[in-house]
Formats: sequence, C-alpha cells, structure tokens
Amino acid sequence: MNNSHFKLSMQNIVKEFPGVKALDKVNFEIEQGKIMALIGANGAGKSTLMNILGGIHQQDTGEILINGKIITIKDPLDASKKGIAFVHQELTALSKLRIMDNMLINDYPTKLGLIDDSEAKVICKKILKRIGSDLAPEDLMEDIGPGDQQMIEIARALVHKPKLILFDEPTSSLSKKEKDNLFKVIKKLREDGVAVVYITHLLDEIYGLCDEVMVMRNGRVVSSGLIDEFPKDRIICDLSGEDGRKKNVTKKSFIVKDDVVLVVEDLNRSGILHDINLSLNKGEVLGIWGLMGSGRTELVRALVGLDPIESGTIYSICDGHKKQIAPHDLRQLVGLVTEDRRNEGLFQPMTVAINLSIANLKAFLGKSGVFIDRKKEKNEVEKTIKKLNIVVSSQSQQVRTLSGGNQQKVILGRWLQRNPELFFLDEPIKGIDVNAKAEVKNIIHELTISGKSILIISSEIEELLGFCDRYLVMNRGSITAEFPHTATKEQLMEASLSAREKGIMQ
Amino acid sequence: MKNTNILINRLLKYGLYFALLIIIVFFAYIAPSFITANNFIDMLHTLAPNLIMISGLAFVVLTGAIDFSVGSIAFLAASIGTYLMVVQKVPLIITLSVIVLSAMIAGFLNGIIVEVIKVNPLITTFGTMLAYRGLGYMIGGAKYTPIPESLAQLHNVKIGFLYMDTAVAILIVVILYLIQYRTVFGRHLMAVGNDRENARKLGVKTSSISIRAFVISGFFAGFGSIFYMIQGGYMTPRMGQGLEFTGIAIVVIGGISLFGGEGSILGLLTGIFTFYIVENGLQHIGVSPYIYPFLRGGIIFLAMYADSLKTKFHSLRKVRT
Amino acid sequence: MRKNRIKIFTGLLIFVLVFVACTTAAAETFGADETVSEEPTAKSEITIGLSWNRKDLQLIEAWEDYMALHAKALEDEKGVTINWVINVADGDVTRQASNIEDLISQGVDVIIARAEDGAAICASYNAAKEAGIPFITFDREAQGCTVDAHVGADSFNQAVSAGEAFADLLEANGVKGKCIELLGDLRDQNAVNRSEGWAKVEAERGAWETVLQVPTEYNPDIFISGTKNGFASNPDVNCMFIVTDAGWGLVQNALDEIGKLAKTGEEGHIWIASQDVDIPGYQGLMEGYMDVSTSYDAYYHALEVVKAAYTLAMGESLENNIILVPGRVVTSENVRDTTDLWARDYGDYQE
Repeated sequence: MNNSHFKLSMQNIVKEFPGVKALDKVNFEIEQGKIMALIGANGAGKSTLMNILGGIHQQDTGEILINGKIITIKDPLDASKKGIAFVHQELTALSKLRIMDNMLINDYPTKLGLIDDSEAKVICKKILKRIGSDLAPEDLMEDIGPGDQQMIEIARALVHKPKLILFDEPTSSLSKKEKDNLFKVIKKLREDGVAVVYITHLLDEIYGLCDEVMVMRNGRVVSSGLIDEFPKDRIICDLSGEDGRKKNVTKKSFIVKDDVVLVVEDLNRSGILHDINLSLNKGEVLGIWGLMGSGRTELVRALVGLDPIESGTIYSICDGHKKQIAPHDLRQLVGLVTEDRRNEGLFQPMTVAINLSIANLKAFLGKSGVFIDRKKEKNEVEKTIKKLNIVVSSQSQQVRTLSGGNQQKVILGRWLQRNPELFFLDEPIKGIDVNAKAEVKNIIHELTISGKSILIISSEIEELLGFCDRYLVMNRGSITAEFPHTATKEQLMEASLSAREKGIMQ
Repeated sequence: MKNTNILINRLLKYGLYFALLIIIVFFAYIAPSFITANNFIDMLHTLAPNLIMISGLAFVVLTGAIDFSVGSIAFLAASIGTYLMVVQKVPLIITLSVIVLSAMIAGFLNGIIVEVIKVNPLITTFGTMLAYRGLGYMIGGAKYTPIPESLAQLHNVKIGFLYMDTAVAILIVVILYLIQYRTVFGRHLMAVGNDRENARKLGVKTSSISIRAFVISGFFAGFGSIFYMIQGGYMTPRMGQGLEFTGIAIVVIGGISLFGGEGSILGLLTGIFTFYIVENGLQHIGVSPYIYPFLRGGIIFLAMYADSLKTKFHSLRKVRT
Repeated sequence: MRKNRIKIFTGLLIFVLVFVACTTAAAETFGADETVSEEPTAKSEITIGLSWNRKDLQLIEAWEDYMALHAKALEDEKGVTINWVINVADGDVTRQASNIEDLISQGVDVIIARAEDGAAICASYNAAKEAGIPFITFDREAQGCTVDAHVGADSFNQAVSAGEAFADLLEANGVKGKCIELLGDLRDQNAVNRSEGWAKVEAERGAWETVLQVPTEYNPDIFISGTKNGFASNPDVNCMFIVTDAGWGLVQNALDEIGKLAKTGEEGHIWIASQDVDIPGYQGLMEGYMDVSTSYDAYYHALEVVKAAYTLAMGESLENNIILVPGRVVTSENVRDTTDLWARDYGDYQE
C-alpha cells in the first residue's frame, strides 16, 4: 500500500504566447498508479501543458492542485521538489561526464565538502537496477548509445523519487528490445504507485500500456477517458477533426517502367556495407527498411560521399546516357534530408526565410547579378511556405522555435527550390505529428508525379507500408531482400531479421 | 574501428610525454649543464610564479571560456601593491591582501561583463587585458621599482630542496585538482564546459559558475604576481605581458581543451614544464636569439593543432545507427 | 557571364572612387583646421608645445625638469620669454593625436612630441605642417615620414662607447672576456642597435668573446633565468653585456643566487657592461658591481631639444635635423664625478 495518496489536477489552465493561445481552459487530472496517454498534434498544446507541470512555463491563469492543495511550480528544480519529473524527448546529456554525474549533477552525496563517489555509485546502481539496466555508473555518457542514454534520462528522473513522471516521446531512439524494456519499467513504476503521463504520436504503443487517454487539439481537450473507449479510429478522428482514414495516402504508382535513373553496383565499405546493388526508377518511391544498425543511414551517406567507400560504382542515367558518377558529385544532384534535422539540416538560430532560400540563392540574384533580390527571395519563400503548409508566424521566425514537423517541412522546402531529380530522405517523418506526417507524405507523392525519384528510409514501418513502390530490406550492412509494393509488414519484419539472401521474394 | 580509435586517443594523450623525453635527451646531449639537478630546481623556481598566475585561467578554460586578461590583472594588482608598499609604506599584510582582493575584483568584473552584459569572453577579456594594463600604468607600474626588503628577502627561501614558490605552486595545483574532481563546484564546472545548454537545463547555475571561474582566475593572477615580484626583487613594467598567450598555450599543451569540459588541472604541470624546458634548454645550448620566438610559436601551434585534432576526432566517434 | 563581369568591375570602380573621395575629404577637413599666422619677424616671446605620450616614468619627469631648466637658461641668454604648453596622453595614441590638435589650435610656435606610436605620429606631423608649425620628435622616431627635427639617443654609438671603455678596462686588467649578452626585444630598434654596437667593438678590439645571447624581450623572468642558465652552461663566463641597466637589479639577484656577485677588485668579480645609467644601474655603478655603462643622458637630450625648438620657433633653420646625443661613458670609477645624472637626481639611492 502507498503511504500517501497522490492526485494531481490542473484546472482551467490558460496560457498564451504572442499571437497564439496555446492552452484554452484546459482541465487535466491524473492520480497515482495510472498511466495516461496524452495525444495531440504539434501545436495542440500538450507540450505546453506538460511544460507547465515541468516548471518550464508558468500558466497565465488557472490552478494546479496536488491532493486538493493549490501549488505553484516556479522552475524545473521546483517541479522536482513537488514530485514531478519530466523525461524530455531530446536527450539532455553531458557527454564527457560519467553516467553517475549525469544522474546526480544536482544531487551529489557529499562527505566533508567533497563528493562521496562510493555513495553516489550505490545510489545510481540502485536506480539503474530499478529500471532493469546493467550499465556501470562510472562509464562515460558518450560511450553509450542513444537508447542507453535515454535510459539514463529516465534514471535521472527517478533520483528524486517522483510521484508523477512525464514522458515525452520516449521511444524515438529506442530499439525494439529497449522499447519493451521501457514499457516493463513504466508498468513497474505504476505498480510502485507512480503516476505516468505518456506523450506520443505512435498510437500503436499506447494500447497494452496506458490506462487512460487524453486527446488535445488546438489548445483544448477534445476527449479523455479510459483506453477501452478509444479505439485507434476514434483517436485519429478526435485528433484531426475528420475521418482519419482519409489521411492515409494510398500512393498511386507513377513509375515510368524501366526508366532507371540511378544504379549502384557492388558498393562496399569494410565492416559497414557489403555488396550493395540497387537501382532506382524515375518517379519511384523506394523504401529502405531495416532495424537500427542495419546500415540504412550508412548507405545513403556512402552514396553521397559523406562517408568513404572502398569499392563500388554509381551510375546516373540522364536522358538515356549512363554515366559513372562519384559520390561527391552525386551529392550535388540529390535533395538530401538527413536524420538529424536539428544538427545537420537546419541553421537553428536563423530565420525560416534564410533556411529556405539558402540552397538556392543563385536563383534570387537580382538584375545586378551580384546582389540578392530581396523581394524575389521573399516571394519564393512565401510560396514555399504556403505550398508546404508550414505553420509560422512570419518568415523571420527563428527556425529553432518551430515544431518538429514544421522544421522538417522547411528542410524539404529548401530542396524543393533547388528542384533536384533525386531525393534521399532519411527519416523524414520521424517524430512529427500525424497531420504533418500526412502533409509530408503528400509532398513526396507530388514530387513523384512530377517525375522525381525518391529513396526513403524510415524506421516507422507502418508509414512505409502502402506508400512505397518497392522495398529494400537491409540487415547488417547488406540488402537481404527486395519486395514489390504489395509487401506486408510481416514479410518486411522477417526479412530484416534474416541473413542475406538473393532474389526477390513474393 | 574501435581499436584504432583507442590507439589514436592514446597517441594524442601520451605523445606529448614522448616528445618531451626526446627534447630532454636532445638538450642534455648538447649541453650537459642542462641535465643537472640544480638546473631543474632553478627551472622550477623560474616557472613557479607563472604557474600560480595561470592556474586560475585553467578553470576558466574548463568552462569553455577564455581569459586573456590574466597577465594584465597580475600587473594591475602588483602595481597597486607596489604603490601601497613603496610609496605609501602600508604594512605588508594589508598590501598583500589588497593585491589579492583587487585581482579578484578584476576577475569578478570580467565575469559580470561576460555573464550579465553578455559580451563574449574573448572580446571581454581582450578589452580588459588592455584596460587593466593601462590602469596599472596609471598607478605607476611602468617603472622598475624595488620591493621592500622584508618581501624581497624571501626569494632565496627553500623548503627541502625546492624553492618556496615551487612548493606553493605545486600545492596549489594539487588543491585545484581536488576541487576539480572531488567537489560539486568542480563537477558543475566540467558540466558547463562540456555542454552549457544542457547543464543549464539540468539546473546547473551556469552563470554563477562562470563568474566564479573568472574570480578564481583573477585571484591566482594576483596571488602569483606576489611571488613574481619576490623572485625579481622588483616590480617591472613588463610583468605579465605575453602571459595571456603563453598561459593559454600552456593550458592547451597540458591537455585542457579550449572547447571546454575536458582535461585535468594536473595537465598544467605538464604544460608549463614543456614550455619552460624548451626555453631553458635553448638558453643552455645558446642558439641564435632569433630562433626563440620561432620555436615558441611552433610549440604553441603544435599544441593547438593537437587539441583541435582531438575534438575533430571525438565528433567522428559519434555513434551512428 | 560577360554581363556579370562588367557589373562587378563597375561596382568596384564606383567603390574605389567613393573611397578615395571620402578619404580625401576627411584629410582635408582634418588638415585644414586652423588659419595660421606666420610671423617672420623676430619674436620676443615663443610658446613651445610639448606632447608626452605618458608621464609615469621618472625618466620623463627628469626630461621635463631639465627642459624647463635649459629653457630658463636660454631665456636669460637670449632675452626671449619661453612659454610652455604641456599635455600628457596616458599611453593612448588617439589621445595624443587630439592633444597635438589642441597645441595646433592654440597656435604654439613649435611642437615637441614623444610619440606613443611612431607611425601614427605622422598624421599629427602633417596637421602641424598644414598649420605651419615646426614639429620635432623626441626620443622616439617617426616612421614613414620625415619631420622637421628629431632629437634622441644614439643607441648604436651608445653601445660602441660603452664597448670601447669596456675593452680598455679588460685589457688594463689583463682579462680575456667571455661574455653573456642579454638582449632586449628584437622588435625594438634601440635594442637591436645596441647589440650591433657591442658586436662591432667585439670584432674590432677582440677583448672579449660573446659566447651566449639571450633574448629577454624585457621579460624579468628571462633576465634572471638567462643569467643563471648562461653561467650554468658556460661556467667560465666572466663578463656580461646587459641591454639596459634598468634590469640590473634582477641580474644582481640572479648572480647572488649562484654566488657570482662580487664587486670590482674582489675575487670572482664578473665584469659588467650595460647601458642607460637608469636608477638601478646607477646604484650598481655606485656599489661597484657594475663596471661600465653609457648614460641615456636625459640632461643632454633636454638641452638639445630645447635648443632645436628655440631655433625652429624663431623661424631659423637647423644645420642638422637629426640630433643624436651619444651619452657619456660612466664607470664605477668616475660615477661620483659625473654630473647631471638623472638617476642620481630622481632615484632614491643614498651612499
């Protein structure tokens, strides 16, 4: 039995930011031993709501109550004192410090003014055991993988023995095994009487894990209740305000048969890629699927010369002429969208306008031929924003303040201006909300209509299904199988786990 | 892949010691007088005040910032001290306290400009480097002024076989080492240097840490200047000049990265030893005076290059899926 | 493509023209400041404008006092009243420039300036020229322009005279010298001149051999370590040439620590030649540790510059525009008899 009952409620919370009402009289309630799924598109307000609980923002009006008593949460440290822990989506890791430093940076046990290392290790080991991790507290943060780093984030949240833990998209960098482990840990937390709020876009995850659901849209709560009352369709409907099924883009095939634009032969990179052979047709969407570590990203990086290769040839075919092309040169022809949009794609502190136009500034040169025609640039940027439905308050908004989905659209938009024939997209729809996902897929779809060829990598298998014309499955650096667009999830999964095989499977 | 990583890492780490060994052997061969115990004790004596003066600087670099004004703070503090001691005949205890206090205030000012007014540390300390020195000139630092006998007589004092200032310097480095690795403040320092934004998110008071680092830097600049004056018996107009660059070079040679969050205070010992051994050795073998700046610059360059290699190397190690 | 190139070229041309126009305009505004009255007739009163780059050295105090002294003597001799307008720039180049502007606008008859920056002082010279005021650089030369007169020390011959006297001394005592030379900063023209002067006498007289040269960069550390290490690696060294005896105190400390400090005539005396007869050097000579030093003669610098200023202010011309004062050779023997040593008047040493 728990020694104290815990119930948290937020009443009539209103929060406004300049130009936007993020939360409009939101009511929220959770009690101990319950796991609540919080679903909503970006901009729906769920992040803001949780940020208030986490002490990062303060509400304009409305109350927060714990066990009937009104409280205020001034900052993250205060939230922690009140028993609320927040595990963010983005890893907040101090890479050069040890695991135990990352966990205890503000809570070191001290003896005579000096840090008590042995006591610290004991504390860490205990918590790590609680979440089923066997990591060593003395290891450096930078020496463990992102999945493990996320485990440490969770471990850190547990240091203050919280009564409520908020998880924001916790599974984004986890392997299946780690995901299962995470769910096990969360369930155990529930048993210990901790309340959990679980924010996610991946609807499949919440079934079997969560007890309750709350759906938000446009700063308001649309619906909430027990998970049994919320099948997937209902959630999608509540989320988008229309029949979600319409949002599923069934891709029509626009491949021009036998019009190959790219051929890769015997690409090898010792230890990473083995004997890669593939071809890409005009107007085709080629999906590359595989588990984490299968070499999908490495393949794309090798193709565009970001990583070295040991052997292999790449050919590009233009107007019937087959020409060998070096990876570095291929990079000039390809619209490349990387996995890590925060670090590798965008100039974070710069404006949307600059980020959009930067790849194609030559097109904006004015009559002088030397100076940029500002008006022209502005118009083009405006056009792109409209076309991709990027939600911004103005062109000069800083890109780092955009939601993930909108950031992704900016990256795409940048390439659209350049108008390359080929696109290599690595995780273009990862971690963005349902609406944005659909929009991005639409954009890709339209690209193929105009004859562009797309190579797409995604770890979200449901998104790839029904969307690609062909599938290549990778495992441990080799292509293990190739499927036509009729492939099923089971087929892809199976192929990703098997060893190398040749030939097309049906 | 991992094995070559380890090898290169080790090379960068230990390569310095190896190079040092070669240098020592080289000098010893050409000038046997170099390799005497007396010479080494003398060398340690010469470098001791400088070591004290830059030990605080190491903390600032660990936070990922930089302090170009250490030399000027030392000069300013010493100028104030000389004025009090020699002109006003203020008792020694008070003078020495004022020296240290004024140095800390100078450091504090640096911290405020960086953290509150939010000027980048490079520009800030470059400006204060000029300003503090100018201030020192105005207080009369531009002359060769002999210091009072009561202080000057300490220059020959030995503790065991080491000179007093050498012993003090080593003690200081050891204490700072303990602070770096065994106190919460030290951990927070490393956190700020490693990833300031994340540290802030985790609740570390980054501004406060940064300001404290600058104060410490100022403190040791001032404290060290006292030993500097004792050794020469004089206050000199060029005191601390060039310390900004050699200080940072020493910090980098000692393995403390300019990017912050990496390196140990003990590295200062290696760094300064390397630096002074070359200087010392050159004086023993008697090369053309025009070679000195060239070699000094060469070593600084190599050190900085190795430092940047280490960082480039680390980013290549990032785990990929 | 062609179109682009033409555009770029035109752009550059316009840019260059605009730039030239602006700077010319600026120069004109800057220069054509005051209307100046030229008075070719004999004056009964002149005003000397004196611009110090800084004032916090005893040497500069000495200069100023000596100048006043000599001016007074000249007043009595010529029956012309001499007024002074003096300003100090605290080591700030821009401040000095504006100080000189002040002198110009006050309409002084001649300007004496000790430059903080030899290159920047040319701008001030040009302004004075526009205003018709003669301009004399004092102690530090202008770089990049030829002013009306320069009065300063002859650092090369200063070293030569010390070297000659030193050679005499060594030969008289039957000593073959093996010397350590502590040089100044290699970027300092004075320091370079001194080293060359020393080398010249060494080559001609052969009374000693310089076995080790240490660049001190005026760094006190190196005065000390250079001395110690020099003796450690060359134990049979018996003499030293120190670029400036302002650093004598440091060398004295170092010699003391290695047990090589002894006065002239004592056993194990190290023969020391140096330059300047600065305050520590004066003490060194008086105590008999140092042997020879050629003075940086503030007294005579002041005399020459006042004479030159007077001449130019009166509208006459000088025979020689570059007046280099050679300094006097001071030894531990004759130091007590040498008059007008600024170190004696402005230092604290009492025998």
